Parts: sequence; C-alpha cells; structure tokens
Amino acid sequence: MSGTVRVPEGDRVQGTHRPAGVTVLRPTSAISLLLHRRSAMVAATLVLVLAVAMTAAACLGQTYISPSEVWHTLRTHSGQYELVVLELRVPRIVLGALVGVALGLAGALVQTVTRNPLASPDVIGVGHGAAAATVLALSAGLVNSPGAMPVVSVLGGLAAAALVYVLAWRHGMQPSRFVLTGVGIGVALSAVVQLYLSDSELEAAETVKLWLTGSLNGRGWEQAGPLAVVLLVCLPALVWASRAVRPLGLDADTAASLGVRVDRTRLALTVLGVVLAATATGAAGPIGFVALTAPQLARRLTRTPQLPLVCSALTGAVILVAADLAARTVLPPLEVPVGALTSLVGGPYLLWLLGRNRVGG
Amino acid sequence: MIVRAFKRKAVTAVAAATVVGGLLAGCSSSSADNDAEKSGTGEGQQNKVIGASEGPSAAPSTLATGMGSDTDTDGTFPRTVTHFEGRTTIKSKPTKIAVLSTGQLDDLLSLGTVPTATTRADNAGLVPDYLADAFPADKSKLAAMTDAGTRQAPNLETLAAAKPDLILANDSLGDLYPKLSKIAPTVITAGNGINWKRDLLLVGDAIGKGQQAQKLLDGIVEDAHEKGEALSKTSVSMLRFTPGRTRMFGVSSFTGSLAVDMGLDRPKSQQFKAISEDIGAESIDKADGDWIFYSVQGDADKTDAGSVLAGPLWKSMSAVKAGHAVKVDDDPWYLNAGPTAARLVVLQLAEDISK
Amino acid sequence: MSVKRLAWPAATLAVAAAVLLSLAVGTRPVPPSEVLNALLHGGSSPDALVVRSLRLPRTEIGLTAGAALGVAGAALQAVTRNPLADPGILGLSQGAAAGVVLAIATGLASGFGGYVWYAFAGAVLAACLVYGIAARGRGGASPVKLALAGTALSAMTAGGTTVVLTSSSATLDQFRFWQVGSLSGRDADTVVRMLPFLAAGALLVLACARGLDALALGDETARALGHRVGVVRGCAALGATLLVASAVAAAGPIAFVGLAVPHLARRLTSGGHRALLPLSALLGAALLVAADTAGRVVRAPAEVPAGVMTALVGVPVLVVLVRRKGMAS
Repeated sequence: MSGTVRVPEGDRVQGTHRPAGVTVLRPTSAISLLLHRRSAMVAATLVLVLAVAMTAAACLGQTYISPSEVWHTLRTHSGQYELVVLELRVPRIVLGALVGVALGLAGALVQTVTRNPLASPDVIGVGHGAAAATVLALSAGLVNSPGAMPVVSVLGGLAAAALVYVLAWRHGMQPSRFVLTGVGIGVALSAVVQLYLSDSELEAAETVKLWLTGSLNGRGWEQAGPLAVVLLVCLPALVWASRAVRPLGLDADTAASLGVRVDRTRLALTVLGVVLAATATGAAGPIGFVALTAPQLARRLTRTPQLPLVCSALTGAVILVAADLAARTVLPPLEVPVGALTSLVGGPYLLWLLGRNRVGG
Repeated sequence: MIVRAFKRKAVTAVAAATVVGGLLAGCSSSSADNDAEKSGTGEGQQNKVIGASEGPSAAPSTLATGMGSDTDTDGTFPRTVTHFEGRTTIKSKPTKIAVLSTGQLDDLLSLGTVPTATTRADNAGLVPDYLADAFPADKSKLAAMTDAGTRQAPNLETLAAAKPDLILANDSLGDLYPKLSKIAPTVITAGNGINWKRDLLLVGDAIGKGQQAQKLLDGIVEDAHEKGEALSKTSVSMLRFTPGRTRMFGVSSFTGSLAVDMGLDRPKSQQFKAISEDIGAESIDKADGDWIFYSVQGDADKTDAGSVLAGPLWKSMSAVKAGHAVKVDDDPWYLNAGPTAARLVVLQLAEDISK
Repeated sequence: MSVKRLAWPAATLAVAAAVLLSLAVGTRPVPPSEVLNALLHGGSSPDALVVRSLRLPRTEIGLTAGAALGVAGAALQAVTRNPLADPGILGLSQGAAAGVVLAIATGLASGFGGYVWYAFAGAVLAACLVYGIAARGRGGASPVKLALAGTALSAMTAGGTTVVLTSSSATLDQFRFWQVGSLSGRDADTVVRMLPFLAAGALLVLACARGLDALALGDETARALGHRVGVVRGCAALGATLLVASAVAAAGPIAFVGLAVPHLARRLTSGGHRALLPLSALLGAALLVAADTAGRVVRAPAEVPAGVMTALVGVPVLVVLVRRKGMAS
C-alpha cells in the first residue's frame, strides 16, 4: 500500500498519516495534543506584534516617552512620567488588549455557529441591546451617566441576544433565521436609542452618543479587572470550545451522524460568545468591527478551515490597541472615539477581504 | 394543524409587539414621572429638579447640605472642600486651574481668575463670545489657555501636561473623577443650569474666594430685584430652537430663576415643574406671552426656527404682532450658566421690556 | 377573486383615512370638519393655519416618500428574489443619507435639488457594494448574506460619518435628521421637486413589470420566455435606486416601509407586478403617513420621528416573516 499510494507530507507512523502541518505534542506520556504548526507560529508572531503595539502605545501620545523610560517607570513606580504612564496610558492599553481579546473570541464563536463571515455579535443584538438598556436606565434615572453601571449594559446585551434566540427558535435553530432576526431586533433597538437621543437635552445626548461609539478614554483598571475575571472564568469553556467548533464546519447531517449534538453545541458556543461580547461592551461601550474582522484576518494568516480561536483573540487585541493609539493621537487634542475609528477602517477592509475570499453560505 | 400554525404566528406577533410596546411605554412613562436627581450638564433636562424650591427663588441659592469648604475666610489654605463626589484637600492657593465643564469658565473669570486649561463645547471656540467681550483685559491670558478637548471627552494627557493644581468639573464627568484626582485635586460641582448659584459658591470655595463669590451672587440678585421693580408685571416667554426640537423653559431653569428674581411673570404654558419642555411647531402659539425671548442654536435653517418664524402661526401670536419677540444670543442665555451670563440676561430683559 | 376586487378600494380608502388622520391629529386636535373647511375655504384661525402650513406639506411628503419606498421595496424584492429585501436592510438608505451628509459637510450641496444627486450616488455605491459582496461564494446573494452585507455597510457609513463630522466644524446635531428619517420641518415645494424623480423611477420600474414577473420563476425560465434578464434586473434596480434616493433626500432614511408593504400588497392581489407595484405605492403612502401621525401622538408634545416609528412597527413584521418556513434560506 505505501508503495503505490502517494501519502501527502506529514508523518507516516505505522500506516496512519496525519494531516499536513500538524505536530503531536506529548507533555506527559498520558496526554497528547495535536498542534497545528502554522497556527502556533502565527500565534507566537501575533504575541510579538501585540507586545510591540502595546509598547508603542505606551511611548506615543501627547509627549513621547522612550521605551527605556517606560520600562524604568514600570519597574520603579516613580519618576517624572509616573502619572502619564502608570495612570493614564498603561491601564488604557491593558483594557484595550483585553477588550480586543474578548471581541475577537466572541466574533470567532458567533461566526462559526452561524457559518457566516459577515456575522458578528453586534448583528445578533448584543451591542444594540447594551445600548438600549443603557439609555433606558438613563431615562429612568437609575444611572447618571452611561458608563456608571456597566452591569446594565452587560445585562442588556445578554437580554437582547436571548430575545433574538427565542424569536428565531422554531423547531430548532437555523443560523440564517437567527441572523435575520438579529438584524431586525438590532434595528428596533437602535430605533429605541434614537428615540432617547432625540428626546434628551443636547449635552446629555452628546455624552450618550460618545458612549455609543465606544471609547477607552478615562478608563482603566476598574473596567479591566472585571473583564479579566470573566475571561479567566470562561477559560475552561474556551478550551472546550476550541475542540467543539471543529465538527460545526460540517453540515448538520454529517455532524449529527458523528454523534455531535449540533443544536446544543451551537447554543453553548453562542452563549459563550454573547457573554464575552456583552462583557466587553460593558467595559468599553459598543465597539464595532473588531469582532467582525479579527477572525477573518486570523484565518487568512493561519490558513485553517475553521476560525482559529487563539489567533482571533490575539488579532483582536492588536487591532484594538492600534486603533486606540490612533484614536488618541490622530487629531490632538480631540479624542476620536475608538469605535468610530474601527468602523471607518474595519469596514472597507472587511469588504475587500470578503471580496477576495471565497465567502461561505 | 392550521389552527396550531395560526396560534404560533399569533403568539410570535403578540410577543414581538409586546416587546416593542413595552419599550415605547417604558420610554414614555419613565421620563414623565422621574424623581431622581439628574446631574447632566447644560440646560433643560426633562426632569423635576430636587432642591429647586417651588416658590419665589427657583434656583437653589445656597450650597447643598454638607458641601463647601471647611473655612469661611477667603484666601485661607489648606482647606478641605466637600463636593459632589467626595472631599478634596487643597493645600495651597491654586494658580493653575483647569475648568472642564460649562459655566465654570464664567465663574472663574467673574471672580477674577483666568484658568490655564479649558475644554470646548462641540465645535465652538474655547471662549464664548460674550465672555471675551466682558473681560477684554484678560484677552492674552485667555488666548494662552490650553485646549483640553471637548467637554464630554477631555484629553487627559493634555490636561496632565498642563500641570494644573486644581481641576473643576461637573457631575457629567463624574466617571472620570478617579483619574482626574490623580492628575490634580479635583472638585466636582452639580452642573445643570438650575444649579448655577450653588455651583458658583462651590467654585468660589474651592479657589479660596468663597466670600467674594457670595458677595457677587448677592449683588446679582439685588440688581435683578431692582431692575425688576421698575418693570410692570410682564409675562416673559422663553424659547430655544435647536435642530430637531423646540423647547420652552420653565420657572426652574437658569433664565427662569432670573425671571423669578426680577419678579417677572411667566405664561401659563411655562409654569411647569421641569426645567424645560418640548413644544411642537403646531402648538407654538401656546408659548405666547407679553414678551418672547427666543434663541436659535446654530444655523437658523437647520432648525425648525426657519419654518416656524416665517410661518403664519408665529405671526399670529400677540407678542409677535406687537413687535415684542426678541432674538437673543444662545451662549449666555441657554448654554453657559454663570454670573456674567446672568448679568447679561437681566440687563437684556430690563432694557428690552422697558422700551 | 373577491380579494382582488377589494384591493383597490381598500388601498385607496387606507390612503384617504391616513391623510385625514394626519391632518386632523397632532399636538393640537383639529376636528375633521375644521380640516375640510381649512382646505377648501382657507381662513386664518390658528387651527386652519396649522392644517394648511404645517400638516399639509408634511402629509404630502409622507405620501410621495411612502409611495416611492413601497415601489422600491417591491422592485428590490423581485430583483434579488429575496422576500426580505428593503432599502433600509440592504443599506441603500444609509448609503444615500451618507452621500447627502458628506455633500453638506463639505458644502457641495444645499436644498433638495442638490441633495438628491448625492443621495443617488450614495445609494448606487451602496447597492453595488452590498450586492457584489453578497453574491460571491456559494449560494449567491441569499437573504442572509444580503442582510449582513447591508448591516456591515450601514455600520461602516455610520462610523465614517461620525469621524468626518467630529473633525469638521459642523454639529453632529444638525445631521440627526439624516440618521433617522422624519417628515417634520420639510418645505412644501420639496414635493414638487420630488415628483420628476418619483415619476422617472416609477416608470423605469413599471416598464419592467412583466420582466419582474418572469424573474420570479428563475433566470432560465425567464430567458426561455424571451425576457432579457440582465436588462430587466438593471432597469428595475436603477429605478428602485432612484426612488430610494429621492425618498431619502426628502425625508431621510426610513426603513421597513419597503419590506412590509409588498407583502401586504401580495395578500391583497394575486396579479403580477403590474397590479402589485401601484398597490405597493398606495399602501406605502398610507403606511408612512400613518406612522408619522402615530409619531406625533405617542409622546406628545414631543414628536417621534417617522423613521423610528416605522422601525418599531416594521421589526415585528420582519420577525414574523423570518419565522415563516423557507423565508430565510
């Protein structure tokens, strides 16, 4: 057999062959893990890129601070740049990276479940739900400002996604129905937000509008802490998810015949994605296009058939950190909200990306 | 089968409609009966204002309970100021003050201090025209102020680079209070035009000019009383045209409180408890009074002002027919609630009505 | 058969009722007899002034914009063979609005006459982008892909507009109108200026009515029946885009009229597009005027923009439609 059949590159171990590009890791004799080599390399590169981006963000701004000064300030917690670096820049950068990670993961999960690269948590109502819940709380006097009670935004995002799911469920869930219902509910919720905006006084409306585009201005450890906790708590679920997404690339019948409970897996992955997106929205307001573009970019880099979770997370972090740096330095002293910048740049890039790629149904 | 299918459709439709209806109802009822203290910036939140008395003095004219500095004499430092987000200790006389919110630039200039950094309202200049005109001697210092971004999103790094020793902001930036306190001692005022008197006193306390602020306030109120006595009991209607809506201002508003101090009457339609209320183009004649003072925000034809002012309904109002409709400057009347603005409003009311 | 016979009188009645309500109802209730009096005999009582100078132009614009959107929706649904197509969902309205905003912010245009060309350019660009993206890959331009591409485009134009406006000296506030459509404060002569574009777009679409009927049977069948599929599609799409552009230039982006109305019309008539299109026009006019009137009542004395009302009402319709078997795929 091995003489006549051409086996593709990869190990040939006792008559079996592994897909190309995959290595087996054996951390202990009892556990073995399949590791896609290219993904691992891409992930390592992305970590490096992220580190560079974060360093650049710490150095650039109103005043340029050299990397060695930044490092010195971080180590000794003193020096003339203590305020700017430790209080203003570093918390913001770390928050940006965490939000990027959460959004990248959420986007990858939702796109895998709906099998559509144009889907994103915003589309299924998370961003709009968070916005609508926040403005309703504002008009009811529960909070003074949009950023005061992030829990409201998180709950709003979760509630909206749940509503979409319930309305779209009919003898089971069809991804296309889910997405279309999400689009509709998103429009209704943004109409509610417009209602509030047209009704409130100008300056209050401006504050809300600013929050609605998503911004990291003035935010830091208070927002990053809860987000980091949520990410840690979700880590086991994410590990499970990285394996559970693979059979979802198949159509429903094949997957079912392989013993995968498609509906339940989809629901669990969606819930995970929604929770991550809602928490990210609670921390920084609704930021668009990161969840949409990061998974696609990551997949182009790793060339895997499925959307890679780790690389999506890292790509999301890089995008957001870079975007926030641009947002605070492009039009000084104006602070462009980072969400507006990601929409402006992410949109055309996504369209170009999809135009070149084969788009799955 | 058909019945079941119909029932399912009906259920979904009802559910969706209920959600939508609930959202609409939630929106309408919540803004109607709202008792919470709102502390956004600017004029005209559509809510009742706690602390605004219902009698003759419509703007709270004393500091809120517990607020203010711990010493009474001007110029004494260190002092601890209790404000709307906590307590701040100011060690020595502040010389480089940053003002981030509306009305505070007016407060400082009227007390004889020029700040080092300030923010701008959306697409406006750093210094409103009426302030630049009222304080020509400070022109060069005003021009040297650092631009710290917009009132809703001040640039913290620029602020930090200006190295202020006191930061003033109002409650709409309350979220930023922790970060602002790290840059410099920060005092948070209430904000909202209706609180202009107590905000002036709090700002005065913070910069060590509390007694001066009190004297300034007393002077303005007395001046308003005097000028008002000379006028007969005229009813004054206050309108503001903005893109998308037209608002009437009530008794408990910045300009409303000045009318109260002057003893002027208000038309029945403006004797509501909220700061301001919307009025549609169709019922603009409800805003009739002996005199109408209206302002237009931005470009006249981008707002309803263009069509309303040219329309026949406006022209049929008694004040318009008698030539008693006056267009006023938006900045001092409706955008910046401070002592110099108050003086200007009182002056304009007195001059125009006595003509 | 009886359903079909009732369709026209029912639609006309709906329009008449909507117009009457729009003129009579508002923050200032005017009894219907007064309304007729004001229209026919003039007069200068406050009520009559309100009816003639404020409500009449509003109603007129509602009728024309609503008719335009209804016809455009029907045409788009036929062209894309997608029962969920709507100028709002597909991002055409937002593209048109973005075109106008950019023109105003850069000072290139003013007044309806200028706006409509930029709206047209914006709508055409949006249509090409959305359709081009959605049509790639397996399955062609399925409802899901079109909707998603439309959503992505809307989010993109919204973000882009925000950035442009933040850096320009214009107030974001002045452009509120172009983010959510509304019928208030419009000029009476906008209607007159709108009519040529309305007529041109409607004629283009009506001319393809037979072809649109054939398209529903599939491209191959349509060709076999002798229709030139590409020409029909292009012609109808062009007409629809023109209609959307004129509606947006007059009243801002209003969604869901184009979605709900053709479905409603199809329930009333089983005929082809030669009956469906005019019926959609009538129903669209009635719907928009009714939505505007409702917006004036729901939160008096404040007015809810018509665009918000149609969204709130249209979304349950969308949800119900999506749940129907076979609609989504």
